[in-house]
Amino acid sequence: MKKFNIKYFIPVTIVILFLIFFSQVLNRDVSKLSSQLIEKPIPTFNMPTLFNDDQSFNTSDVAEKNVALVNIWASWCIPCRSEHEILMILSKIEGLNLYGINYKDNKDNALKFIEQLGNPYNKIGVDKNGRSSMVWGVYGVPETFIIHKGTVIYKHIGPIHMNELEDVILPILGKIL
Amino acid sequence: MKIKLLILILTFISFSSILSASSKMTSKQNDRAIDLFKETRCLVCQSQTIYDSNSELATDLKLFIQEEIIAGKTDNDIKAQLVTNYGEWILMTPSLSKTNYILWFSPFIFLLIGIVVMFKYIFNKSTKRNKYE
Repeated sequence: MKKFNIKYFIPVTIVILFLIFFSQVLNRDVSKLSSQLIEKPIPTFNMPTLFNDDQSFNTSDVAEKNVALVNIWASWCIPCRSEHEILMILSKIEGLNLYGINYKDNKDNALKFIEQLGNPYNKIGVDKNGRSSMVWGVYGVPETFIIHKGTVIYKHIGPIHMNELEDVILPILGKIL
Repeated sequence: MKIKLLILILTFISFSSILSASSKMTSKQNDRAIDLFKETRCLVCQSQTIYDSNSELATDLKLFIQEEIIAGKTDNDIKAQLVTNYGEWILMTPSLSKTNYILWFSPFIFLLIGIVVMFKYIFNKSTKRNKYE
């Protein structure tokens, strides 16, 4: 009988390990990129508000709150419309402060959007050219950040659906509220 | 007729280049901008650079880079700012930092292992042959 030599199995094992590793990496959902900001303090920003150009929405507004939610939206963004309902629900939660960043929008359209669908936000900042949102690492609308004591703890890309509200957002808020 | 067409095309080209945002930059600055565009990943069309992309985010990022260059920032400053905002992944070439050491040096380590194994194999063979001779 041929001698069983473990040496010959080493290359095969290595190849199999590599294949497992690569398949894991390739199957990763790239749309669920984790944000650079997670576990980091909120970025420095300053922008005028939608209702009053002289007022500003800035870092301290969000940083001073125990639990805050920053939502980036636009009236031209269709998913934002469906998400707005969820934000209205969230706005009823005591202790949770909602803030909006109006992204690359027309002011009249933005005002009309809020008038029609309601205003869940404590304050709405206006980012006319998308530059101020760049510090938030935004690359599309809608995006939502949950902030606990000035630190970003969660980022949601795309609209929040009802099931995501129940399965993801509310459990996170439950832990910190 | 052909000459008229050529003149028309040339005027069009020169006009369009004047109209672009890069007109505020010197040619050296423009070269730097293009190099940076080719180094920056377009995050909404992930296998492309912003140089190759016309997506809205790519346009914003290009504008940002151009403005930063005009403001006198160095290439490294601009890259660092992009990484702070969007993460390491935005750079097409990963930086040579501690977290990326494995990424950069593993090919050489594997090459070294390969060379060692190969030499051992050859050496073993030749000593075996010597025994039989």
